Amino acid sequence: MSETTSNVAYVASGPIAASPPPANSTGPVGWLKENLFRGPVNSAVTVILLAIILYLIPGIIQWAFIDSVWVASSLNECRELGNGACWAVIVERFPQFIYGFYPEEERWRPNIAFILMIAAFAFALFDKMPYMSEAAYQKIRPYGLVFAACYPVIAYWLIWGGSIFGPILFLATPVLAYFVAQGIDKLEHAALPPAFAALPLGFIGGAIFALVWLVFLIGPLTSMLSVVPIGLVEVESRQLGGFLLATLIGVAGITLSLPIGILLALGRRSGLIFIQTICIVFIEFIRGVPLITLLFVANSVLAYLFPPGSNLDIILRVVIMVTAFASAYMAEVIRGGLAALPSGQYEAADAMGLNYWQATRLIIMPQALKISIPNIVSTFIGLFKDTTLVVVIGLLDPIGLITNIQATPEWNGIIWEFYIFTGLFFFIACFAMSRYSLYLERKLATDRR
Amino acid sequence: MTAIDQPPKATFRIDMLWTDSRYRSSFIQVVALFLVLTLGYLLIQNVLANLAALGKEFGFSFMRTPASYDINQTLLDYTSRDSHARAAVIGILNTGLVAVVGCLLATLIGVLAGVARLSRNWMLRTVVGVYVEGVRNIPLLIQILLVSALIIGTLPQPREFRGEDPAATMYFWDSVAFTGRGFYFPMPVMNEGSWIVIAALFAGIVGAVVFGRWAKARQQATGEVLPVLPIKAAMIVFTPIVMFLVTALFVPGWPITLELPALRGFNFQGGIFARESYVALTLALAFYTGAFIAENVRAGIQSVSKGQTEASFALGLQPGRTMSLVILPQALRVIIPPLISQYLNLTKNSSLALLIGYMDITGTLMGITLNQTGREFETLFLGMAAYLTFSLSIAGVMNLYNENTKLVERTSATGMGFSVLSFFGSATGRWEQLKKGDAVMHDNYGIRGFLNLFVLFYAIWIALLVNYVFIEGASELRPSYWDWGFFKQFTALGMIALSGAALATCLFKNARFIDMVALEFLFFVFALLVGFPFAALTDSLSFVLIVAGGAAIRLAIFGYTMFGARPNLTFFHRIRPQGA
Repeated sequence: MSETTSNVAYVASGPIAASPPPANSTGPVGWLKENLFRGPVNSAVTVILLAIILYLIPGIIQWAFIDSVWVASSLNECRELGNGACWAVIVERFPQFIYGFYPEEERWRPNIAFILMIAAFAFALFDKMPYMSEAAYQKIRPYGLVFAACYPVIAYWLIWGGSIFGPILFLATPVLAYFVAQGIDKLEHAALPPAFAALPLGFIGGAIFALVWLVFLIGPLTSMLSVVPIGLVEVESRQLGGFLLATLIGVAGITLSLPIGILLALGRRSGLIFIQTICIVFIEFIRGVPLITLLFVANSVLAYLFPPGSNLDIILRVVIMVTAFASAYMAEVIRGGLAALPSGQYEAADAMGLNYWQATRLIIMPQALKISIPNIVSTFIGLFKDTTLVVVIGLLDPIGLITNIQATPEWNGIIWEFYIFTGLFFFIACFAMSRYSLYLERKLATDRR
Repeated sequence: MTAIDQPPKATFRIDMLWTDSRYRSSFIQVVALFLVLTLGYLLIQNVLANLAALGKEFGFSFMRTPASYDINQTLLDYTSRDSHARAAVIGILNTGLVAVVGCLLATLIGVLAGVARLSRNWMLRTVVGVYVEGVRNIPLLIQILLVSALIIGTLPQPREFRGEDPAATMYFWDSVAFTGRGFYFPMPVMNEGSWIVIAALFAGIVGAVVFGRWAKARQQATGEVLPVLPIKAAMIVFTPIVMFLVTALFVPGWPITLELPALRGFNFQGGIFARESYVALTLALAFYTGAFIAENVRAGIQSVSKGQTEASFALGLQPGRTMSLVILPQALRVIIPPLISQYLNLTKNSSLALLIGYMDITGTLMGITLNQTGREFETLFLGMAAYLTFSLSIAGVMNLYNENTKLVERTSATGMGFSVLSFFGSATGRWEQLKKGDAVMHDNYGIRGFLNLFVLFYAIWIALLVNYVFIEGASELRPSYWDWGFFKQFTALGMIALSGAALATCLFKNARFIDMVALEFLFFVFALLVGFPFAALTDSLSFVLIVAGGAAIRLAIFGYTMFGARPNLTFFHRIRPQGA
């Protein structure tokens, strides 16, 4: 053994440390080589793109920031101050872009409605609040949910104004109906034949009362009560505009389309021939025509479908049609989610002895909705972008306002600034939504990894 | 102890209607039916009451009255003296033009952008990512207005092309002009002998397809790989060029010449003129939809697992063939369905043309015609019907494609090629199947294939009838559809719908004798109803052909459907050749 070792000139006594990678394959140089200059074609693409960007960017920056004018009262003044972008028009008309022609002294109302909306959504969507202990939040959450349920009526009253009694009487409907149902249930109804004993008379009575109350009683009662002048100044629908209008239609459409879409998707998969047919016809019809035509319907035909003399508000009509439109798309998205569920889930729910609604509520829907979150959010994004289309029926959404402002003598001739501004607004809103959906998707993907 | 009591007979209680699963579904449906009928009744009552209050009536006769408005870009001849119906047709064609060109451009942009997003080049990836995210999150309407403003604002006006040292120049050897008023392209003019060149082009395409099949068969038989793509391209490109030159020797001048747009006076004359509103709409739609398609393409390519590529490399396939034989066929199955629904979206979004003054169906029928006549119901009904037809036919093509790829999946040796021949083959059944394979097991299988042709013939007939009723200017002899009484109009529409439904049954389900008879019956009633000019039709064909041929075909088919095996007329339920 000693002989052999003595013959060898060198024996490694430990592992040799790995030599560092070549200098041009790590660090910034390596990254550049890997990602920008991998081969001649790749390098050429990089150089060409870089040249284009370097050619475009300075001009854009010069136009948008360096030479731009932020304070001026007309386009001529803008042009005198600098030959870049005339952001002064946006600055000057900013309130109009937000509120449209909403009366200036009443603009606190949409602001409050907006803040309340955030609160209502927070209560409805989040299980816990930051900066608030879990127990405290759970204590106030039920009230918060009631508030969220009442919020649409509150928002309606805040934005459109009018007597306070209409909304109050409307909100009272479920409470009154509940008392009517309780009252009927307490009555003796021994006279009924035994086959009918199981009829939920209280429920039926309450429903009938609610219907009668809504259709026949609220109107006269409101006009009687409105002798007492408590209320806000009425604002007409045509005065609403700008991002207020876009947000209003978007939020109303989004919140209404989800439940209706779920019902349509369930109906389409229900296996009850008649209900299935209705759902399919509705969904395929709505999906087959452009939103513009539905807005035309809202503008000119929808009023014919209601009793003569009933003067339906234009924004309400638009919301109806936008909701119908979004619901059909939502139904297909959710149907996709339902179809993606393995049938074992349905069978397991049946095996547990759950009935249809229990199974749907506890087992099927949570999973199906989770699967379809990305598509639901992209439907929302599409709906929000589509709110710009109301301009075709003369509502003053941001794009309608652009035409309006361009027609004034002071700002006649400005084009790009408007499109860039409104485009940026929608981009920020929609991009934020899509990022949030990615976050949600990752957060909820508990089963995959 | 001796007898077990019968269980007590369950008495019916009212709550069993919604608690007992025996009655529940019927009960729910009856309630729903009742509610829907009530709602429908109320709505119709309201509509009638409202219409009566306004003194309006329902009917389509206004479609025959002169439109008396101009349309700035038309594919067919149109003057303001033409009827509203013709204006609507012009609008539909304009929508179709935007949709077709827009879909082609969007596919091109989308595929390039989708592949570029997967590029290893960081710069390219990022730039394309900015494009896709930016365009997808900004309302289409803003983009259309922006592109329109860009074209009008930045491109030169035609007058700037004038003079010795013009401010603007034309491109591509003075053949194309981009102006703020629109784009001008050269227009091919068909001279004497041009049909030979066109026929040569078709012959080249057919030859390429035949060669492709032959090459594939040869490769499967011998393993030899031929350079298919260059040869195919050469056949398609060089056949017409050679014929073009040869024809030029025999006819005066060239068989096909180009008419270049030229500046005359204050504007360009000649060539093809694409109005600025059309260009803006098409480009904006293409870039918008292209961004969505890019995402579909990216998702499709990423959906093919890396193992497929590695397995293909392990088999020794080169990267190009790996892409075309392994990755693309699998990726396309994922890409195509959303791609088609993007086409659908593009078609529907083209209705935004209204806002930049391009006269599509929304601008003519649902815009000016509606405003002029005040017929909201009728115009919106017709317009929506037009869009529904667009949508449903695109959806039908998608189903066709899905069925095709699904079948190919089973016999993957035939590859993905979606050629006209394979489509025709799937419509009729292949000729070989008349003689061999599974056909032995099924009586008269081949004849069933020809029955499919018969159904196609019916489809053509429906198209002719619809064209005759709605589109073609009414002849002097008969009142136009729009002048009929409401009842007759309604019946005719119903008949078309029923015929279409019967046809769809024949196409997609197993048609039976009763279906064929129903179809025949419907057609004749319908044709009589609309006064279809049988006389004119029969005059143009020979008597023997019409009577004897028609009778023979029908007799044969009825006899076959009655006494033969139950015919399988469907496109897709046919028997696959084994190992083809």
